[in-house]
Amino acid sequence: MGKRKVVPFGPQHPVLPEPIHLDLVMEDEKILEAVPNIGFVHRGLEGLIEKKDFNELIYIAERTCGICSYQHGMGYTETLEQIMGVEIPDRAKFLRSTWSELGRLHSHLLWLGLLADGFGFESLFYECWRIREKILDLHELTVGARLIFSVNKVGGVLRDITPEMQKTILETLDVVEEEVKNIQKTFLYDYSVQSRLKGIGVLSLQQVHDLGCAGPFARASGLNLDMRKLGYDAYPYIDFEPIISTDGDCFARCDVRTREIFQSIDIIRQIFAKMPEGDIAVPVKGMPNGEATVRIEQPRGEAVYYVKGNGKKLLDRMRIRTPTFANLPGLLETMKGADLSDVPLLILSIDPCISCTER
Amino acid sequence: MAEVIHPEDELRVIDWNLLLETAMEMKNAGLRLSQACVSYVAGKYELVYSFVNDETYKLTNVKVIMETTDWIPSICAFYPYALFYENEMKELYGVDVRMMEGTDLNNKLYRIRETTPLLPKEKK
Amino acid sequence: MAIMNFGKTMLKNLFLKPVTVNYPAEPAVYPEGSRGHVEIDVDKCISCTICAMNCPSDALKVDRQAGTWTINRFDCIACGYCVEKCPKKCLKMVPGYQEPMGEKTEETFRRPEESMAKAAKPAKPTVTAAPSTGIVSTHNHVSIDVKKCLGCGKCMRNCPNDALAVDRKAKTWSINRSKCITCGLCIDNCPTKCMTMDPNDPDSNGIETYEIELAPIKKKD
Repeated sequence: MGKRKVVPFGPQHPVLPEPIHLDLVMEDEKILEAVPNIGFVHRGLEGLIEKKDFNELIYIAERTCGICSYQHGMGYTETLEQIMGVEIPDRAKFLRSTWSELGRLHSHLLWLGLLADGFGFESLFYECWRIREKILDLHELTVGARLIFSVNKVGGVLRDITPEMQKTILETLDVVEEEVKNIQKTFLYDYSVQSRLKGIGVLSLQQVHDLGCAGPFARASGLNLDMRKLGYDAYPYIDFEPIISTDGDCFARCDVRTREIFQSIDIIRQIFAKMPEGDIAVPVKGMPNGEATVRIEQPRGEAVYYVKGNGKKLLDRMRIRTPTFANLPGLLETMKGADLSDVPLLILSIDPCISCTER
Repeated sequence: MAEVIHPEDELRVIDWNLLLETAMEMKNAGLRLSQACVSYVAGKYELVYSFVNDETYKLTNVKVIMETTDWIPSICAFYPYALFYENEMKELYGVDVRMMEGTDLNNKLYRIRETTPLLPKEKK
Repeated sequence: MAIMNFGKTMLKNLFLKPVTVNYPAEPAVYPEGSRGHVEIDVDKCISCTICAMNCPSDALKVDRQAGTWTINRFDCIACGYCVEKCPKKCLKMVPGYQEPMGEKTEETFRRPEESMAKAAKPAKPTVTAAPSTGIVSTHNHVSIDVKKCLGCGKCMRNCPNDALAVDRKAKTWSINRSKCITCGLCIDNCPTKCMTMDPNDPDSNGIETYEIELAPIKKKD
């Protein structure tokens, strides 16, 4: 019987992209439980509804997070459109899906780099981020900025993707696909990587369902859940199936996200083949009156947007529930019985986006 | 065309003493708690709990309207991970949630200096 | 399981030249639609203050009396909302980012004298638009000559704050005084010039409705 100690982890740690604090209750080298503590990047964004009207809130909702920023702006705009009863043109739906998939590509490449840094393989980290720069150049070409897009408005989008841009995008994506196939071999088949990732943090299908997890974290344990099947934007016209794995450990989560990169490239190719002509926006009049709930598939999982308006230009409530908030209970469950040296990898395997969680 | 499952959303407005019964009904139907939030509208608290069916993707919103001086029971007995949402409601908006029984994070989930920062200033 | 899977990439990277650009020795190349900073064509500005009221980060200030437009470039987040909202389209977003400096500075542009003289000049001084409160308190108001109104609705469509409502069937023209920011766009767009800017206080601060006579459109013979 060893003695129990409490080891504080974070908020400053070399492997964490954003600050979170965990109190780890330990006995010898094994962890018994973890108690979380958040609030280090709490900006009170939901309190800004008292000052800014519903159109300016699009720009504020986008700045909730730097990595999944496009989907936040898109989700909030789609909720407003559902309340006000606006139907956007088909070309705008396809354009929104394109940017959504480009955002998913850059987020997964960022995560692969951070994971490689987490177990000490820095050259692989730089290689992943070098490939990601090509995607950010595509963002700047089509939208004007690298990370924060600001291209949504109630009723459609503000910019178009011309056929020359589409050609550039498809050529760049061919190059990206070749390079990701090269590094995929290192992630999946290398002996030193496998010895750090296999068998760590296993969660079964029943546990994942009982804890309410979402996204690739849940799909790696076998849960068949993907919000893109709801059919918002251009997804009814695209053929795709959610990617699942059944092992449930950190290696399976890495595998699922790598395969999602190839699936996103394939979806963009299908979108460009089927894109219709037409307007990119419709004019909108009036104020939002009523409430609506919309669910979007972000790179990290299912995000829920709840907006309530009362007919004036200031809203009553805007609520964003991000997927990291849903995956936190799953994280605390994987910590039970783990070694102290595996804690950084376990935290990285849920793809933590703490600034989304705290807003 | 890929198959699309998009059933209609449902909204139920209930009294606060029916909350635990409704939570038990949702749990027995196998639904997952997706989010729980609180809004401060016209001097009252409006709590909205969203339950989702993972096979049919149907969303059910359960709404409870209560006064600021009332208290509401916790649904942690059926959904243990609801304690994060309830702690957030308690710490940011000042909703009185009781019966958390040992799973309570004791007002320490958010490490912020002001108490209930998101309530409008006139209310505090 | 294999070892040295990364070896080939590592050897290739040893002989590659750096992928980074040697900035600032080499200039940075931005693509055409890049969002860098906001520029104004101040000859076209009419000081309607719509950009200042709608800026999400409160970086703009407009003084109607003096005819100036001030931007704090360090607060501006380059979102492009002011460019979208400007009724005269005198703002545009161009590539090129703000250089780092020792302290935050503001940049002011002044309208030329001819354009200030042409504008509807209020007799009493006006208060500058306080950002994001939405209402400009002013001492002049829009008044209409109901005999000349055609009921075409052009003023209503061009109002940037949705303050006007024209109903041809009911034969009414109504204005919401609390939403009117006296920018004068309705006066500019009216085909019969039946509206003028009156330099006195308005009668009320709510919605005023007038009956119009739907003057017949004169056809050219």
